[in-house]
Amino acid sequence: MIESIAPYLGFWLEGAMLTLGLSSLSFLISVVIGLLVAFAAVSRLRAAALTAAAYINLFRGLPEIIVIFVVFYGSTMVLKLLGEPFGLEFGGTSPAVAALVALSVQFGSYAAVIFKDWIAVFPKGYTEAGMAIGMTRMQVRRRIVVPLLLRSATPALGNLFLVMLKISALASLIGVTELSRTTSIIAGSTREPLICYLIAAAMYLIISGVASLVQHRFETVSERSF
Amino acid sequence: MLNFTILESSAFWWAVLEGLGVTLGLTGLSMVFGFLLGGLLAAMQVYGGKPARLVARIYIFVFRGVPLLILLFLAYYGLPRIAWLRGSVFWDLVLVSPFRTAVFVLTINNAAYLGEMIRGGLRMVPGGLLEAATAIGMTRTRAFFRVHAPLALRSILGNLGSETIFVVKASAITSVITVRDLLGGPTVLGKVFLDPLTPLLVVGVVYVLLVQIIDFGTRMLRAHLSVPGSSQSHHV
Repeated sequence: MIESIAPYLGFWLEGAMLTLGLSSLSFLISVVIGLLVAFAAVSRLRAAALTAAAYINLFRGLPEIIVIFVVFYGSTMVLKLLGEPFGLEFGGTSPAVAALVALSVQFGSYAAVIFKDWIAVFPKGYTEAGMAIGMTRMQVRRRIVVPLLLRSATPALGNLFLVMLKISALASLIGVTELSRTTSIIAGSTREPLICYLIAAAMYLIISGVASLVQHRFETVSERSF
Repeated sequence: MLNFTILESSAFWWAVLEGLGVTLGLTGLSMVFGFLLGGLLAAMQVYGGKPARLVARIYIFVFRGVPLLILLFLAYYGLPRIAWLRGSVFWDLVLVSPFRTAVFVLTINNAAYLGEMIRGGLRMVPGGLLEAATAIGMTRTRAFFRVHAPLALRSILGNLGSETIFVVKASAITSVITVRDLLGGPTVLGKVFLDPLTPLLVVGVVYVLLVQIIDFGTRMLRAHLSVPGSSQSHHV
């Protein structure tokens, strides 16, 4: 049993690295999107606030698996339509890029909800103090509000990253060879689905265990600097 | 290239309707079973001894950390490999159909989240209320069912709504083990019509509407059950 699986170990670890890379990159992008959307949601511009609310509500209701499929099939179709008049042939979207876009956009809405909640309870005094020493609104936002928001939202963002790790498994369904996909391939060729999926489960547990440790570390450090 | 002929087929709309039923079934069943199992996990942590607490913690760590997709594959492709499971009660009850396997997997996954939620709810009930209940002569069991459980339930109502939404969305993943749910049914037809995109868009709209309805229902229920003058809600 072990002998039949051992040769695939390198392939497996590559998959795990891709899972980590894909989740981390989408997570970073989604935090940026989340900040932008959260500020839009509390903006005095009605149009901006409404657009942000619609974005948040749309992705609150859409299953991640659908977003991934729609981005993948949809972008391939759009590229084809755009290319046709010019006689260009695009070879379809790369699955990894489609997954990255889909996860970032979807989790951007989740991050926006987190930031919006924290903006709602943000102490007015800090903003006023910034204004009083002559900062512009933008400066206050960039130098005071955003850093403090990021710090207070760290626990919630950490949980969001753990969700991202798990949801990134869905990228395997459009052919991204991350941890789940490599596991399915190995399970298929060794005919040991039980062992292979158990090992994959353990790998996910290890990754999220390490991620929570890092998060914990991060929280204690940022608390001390307060 | 873009055509919407699939929208004119009545088979497609039937698939959407049937799929909606399956999705509601998956969600409802795994919420009920998950709540029971989650309640047990919470009780093990609140009232149990050290071993019980440890078992519950490990359960929650494992099932919150492993992707649903892996759990589904594990149950659908992995478990049937265990020889002695064949012909067992578990086989006849669960592994016999993809739908039941999906309910099983969603339940054990959901229970981990609900367990944490219920534990939080039980902890939020002020100790004084429970002492008052015993002081007027209620037994511990009666105090639990008359005071502790109802108050805890009310305090987690909003979270239960979010969890239901989470399960509706997660249940879409069960289409990978051939469950014909709201995602699985219509997209299979999409393959017949060589049109993968249109079914996804239609079904996406239905999911968004469904979630809005659940959201609305939760809000109504919370407003209905809230105590006038007390801002019990912990949703800041």
